[in-house]
Amino acid sequence: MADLTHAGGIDAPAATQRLTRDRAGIALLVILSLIVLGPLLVLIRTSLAPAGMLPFETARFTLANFAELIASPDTVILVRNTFVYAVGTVAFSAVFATALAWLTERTDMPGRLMVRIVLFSWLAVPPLVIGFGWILLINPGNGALNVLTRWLTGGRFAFDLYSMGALVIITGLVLTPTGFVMIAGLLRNMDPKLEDAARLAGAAGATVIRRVTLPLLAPGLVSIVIFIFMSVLQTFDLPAIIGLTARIPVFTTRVYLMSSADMGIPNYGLAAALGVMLLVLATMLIQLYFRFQREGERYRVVGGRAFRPGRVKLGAWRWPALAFAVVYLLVSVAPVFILAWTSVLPFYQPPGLEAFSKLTIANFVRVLGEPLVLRGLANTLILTLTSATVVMVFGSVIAWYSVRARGRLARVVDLLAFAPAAVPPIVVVIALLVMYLRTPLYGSIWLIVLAQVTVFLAFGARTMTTAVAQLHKELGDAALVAGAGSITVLRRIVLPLVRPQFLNGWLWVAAHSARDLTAPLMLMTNSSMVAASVVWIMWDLPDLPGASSVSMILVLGLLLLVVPVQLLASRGAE
Amino acid sequence: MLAVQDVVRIFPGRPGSAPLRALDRISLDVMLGEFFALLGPSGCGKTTLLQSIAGLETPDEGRISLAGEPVFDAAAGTLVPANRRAIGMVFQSYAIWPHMTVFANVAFPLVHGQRPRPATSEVRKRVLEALSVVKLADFADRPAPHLSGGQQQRVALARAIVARPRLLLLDEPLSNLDARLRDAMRIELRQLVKELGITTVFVTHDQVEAMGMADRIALMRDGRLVDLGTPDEVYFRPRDAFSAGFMGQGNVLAGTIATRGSERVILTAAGAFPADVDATALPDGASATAILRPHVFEPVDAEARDEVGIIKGAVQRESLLGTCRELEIAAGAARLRVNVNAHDMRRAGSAISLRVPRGRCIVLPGPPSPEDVVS
Repeated sequence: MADLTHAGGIDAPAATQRLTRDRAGIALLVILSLIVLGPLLVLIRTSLAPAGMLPFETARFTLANFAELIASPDTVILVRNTFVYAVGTVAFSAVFATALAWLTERTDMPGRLMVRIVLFSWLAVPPLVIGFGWILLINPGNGALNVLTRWLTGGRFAFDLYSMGALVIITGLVLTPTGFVMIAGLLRNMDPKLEDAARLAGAAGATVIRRVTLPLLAPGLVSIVIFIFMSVLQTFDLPAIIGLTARIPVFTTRVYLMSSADMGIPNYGLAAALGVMLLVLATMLIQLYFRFQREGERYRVVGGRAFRPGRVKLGAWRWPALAFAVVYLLVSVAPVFILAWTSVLPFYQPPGLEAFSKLTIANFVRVLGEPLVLRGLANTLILTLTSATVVMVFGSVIAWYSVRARGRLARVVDLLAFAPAAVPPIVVVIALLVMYLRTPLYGSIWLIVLAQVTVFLAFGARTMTTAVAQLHKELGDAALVAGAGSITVLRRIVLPLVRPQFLNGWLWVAAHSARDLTAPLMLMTNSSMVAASVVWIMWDLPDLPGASSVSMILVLGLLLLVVPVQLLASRGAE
Repeated sequence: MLAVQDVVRIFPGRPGSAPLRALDRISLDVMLGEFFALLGPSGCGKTTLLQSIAGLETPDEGRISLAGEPVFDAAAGTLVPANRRAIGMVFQSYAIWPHMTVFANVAFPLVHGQRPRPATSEVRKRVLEALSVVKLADFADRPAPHLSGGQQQRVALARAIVARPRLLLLDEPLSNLDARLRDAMRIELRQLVKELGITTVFVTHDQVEAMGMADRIALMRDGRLVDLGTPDEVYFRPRDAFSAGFMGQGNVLAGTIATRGSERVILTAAGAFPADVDATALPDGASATAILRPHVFEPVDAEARDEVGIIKGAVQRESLLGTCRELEIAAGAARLRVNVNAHDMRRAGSAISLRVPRGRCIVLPGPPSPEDVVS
């Protein structure tokens, strides 16, 4: 018999030493540190700088900015406003998103596919545009709906646009599709057999919902609620459009005001201090979010998708349910209709028969002749194409690395890539502003691209990590053993296999970077105009028909990008 | 051809648990053209070893060399990456790329793994050659997802051999096939690899597969090599009780070494059996373990003399297994499981005499551990 080597105890602790120097990992680490940690460090440094100083100009550290914030009576109002705004919005969206998701996923409501497609596509419509639409609908002077209600009630009733209530409802309408997408996913992944088992055990319908369905969904629902809460905290466009006029400042708009020249000399230190506070709050929320999400994952009993969710038969309630959904959809698309109306009139007037004779496409012809608009549209194109591509390619590389490689470095890369999820966009933007204010990058579209890449990187990395983790590890190993290098494996095997997720993620980032106003507005210069900031400027002039026309071009462009994909995806989903 | 020396791989434990020694000083040599099996229960480290050979896993200590060239040496800091080792591998899941045709799958190692890249006509010729070796030449243009499990395995094999690797690694190649196909593939796979003359290492948890296919078997347990030899050696002369038990069923009996006339024997509760052991290793009176596989017994006439190797007992229970008849026999204080010819009908309660011919009783030093003893 061949001889055997038997092991006694091994005494070398050097067993853990690794041979390879992980070049790919180190490269990723450096790039991620630059784009994620760099801005955060600058933000913190700025918040600790003396008043009126940029971080590079001083070596002094002071807590004066934080002291000023805490001492200021405005801060109490700010915190209260932000809290009321966030809680109200979350309540609104959670209720409507849950109702709509349940109707489309778990009942036999007619037209549920249409509801699904509209809500998924509506994610792409810029909140900025929706905000302006609502101003046209319910502003105190000639808001179209207010004209109508005053006529109907003899002048006794009108909607109050510039109020906390209106701000909450409008933001709620904007965030409901986000909640819907997440809750629909949650319902879809729940195994109906769990409910069947309870029913077979003799439980009544209400008992099943109370004792089985809700407890199973609870962790997932809580994590979604936290996510929406975070989104509200980070929302900038609507509080800027409506809240500033209504004198309802929240965290994000206050940061903007402090760092913009509208109100005298920008106070970057104070803005950064407020940004740091927002960052701390967001970090705590994201911890909570991940905790509940993990909890939710544990409840996800089923691995495959070999089940069809059972649908509740609504019977006679089918039509009221459909009516509810249709009314909801009409209300949420109404602002875009009024913008469409305004865009084809020489000057704004409420809808009416006599206005029909004045319909014209002159506005579109005019705005498309203006260099500012053309530059804005061209920049938007550059912005969406590059940020979506960079985010998804970089996200794929990170995903492939962190799924495949083991060890501490991979964990750090993973963590760094997810960290921006906790950083509110306004915080990223203010940090980039301070960092690059004195460089040629400031004023170019590429600074906005950098901001969007930083903001959306976490999304790209998460999407692709999920996709890559689902790939069998051996598919990549087989290519490696066959002699292919890492880049060939990524290009020939991994990327082709995750193409659907890559494309979906790409579209999402493209749509979101086109609709965002935070970065374009705070980093705005003449040469870095994008469509969103052009709309903002024209609205301020005021050139309502012009702003409406550019809005419509932006919305149509985005819908053209998103709707075909949603149609395809929904066909697959049914 | 392949030399593995003192290889150690330790997986860092999760917080709160000890690190796992997946490979604990493994050393073995595989000869040119040999078909070599790594056998063991799940979690014994055999797959970690295979992956270390492939370069998909990096050990913490030791050396691995291929055809004399070191591909891994912890002390010297040598590490040849997986894609430069010129190895072919068939994965447990087959890892057939679903977004490619059968042809593209098989051509991949030639197109992306060879420098310089062979001409298109050469690639085509060699892919079709490899596909015809696995009898799938007609399937070249088929999309990979439209294949049965057995066909996928053949594609994986064609892909593994198309670049004429120095070494072929097979990771549980038969475990995803149904029983009937597995039997056919076992013979075919060995024949094919032997015809091509490629040195092959394959991992399995099934001792029948290992014995039926391999020239030599390395048996592993808890990251250690516990036995190594030809199927006959490992089966008939196992190194310890674990090895004996893993290779096949056996009646494990506690015994004492003694000498009867000129013959050395082991005395057990079931009787005395010839024990072919060295007097210096196991002197008379030494405690030992006898292992009797169910098929070592030969029925003899009831009048047979009471001598070494003869058991007299009563049938307690019988059942027909198809290829043989299994009896449970009470002999002395012991209960034995005995396989006899399926045609040899024995009624429960009847007396039976059996003989264990010389050389068939496995004798191991020391008493059996309690979990080894079949009651």
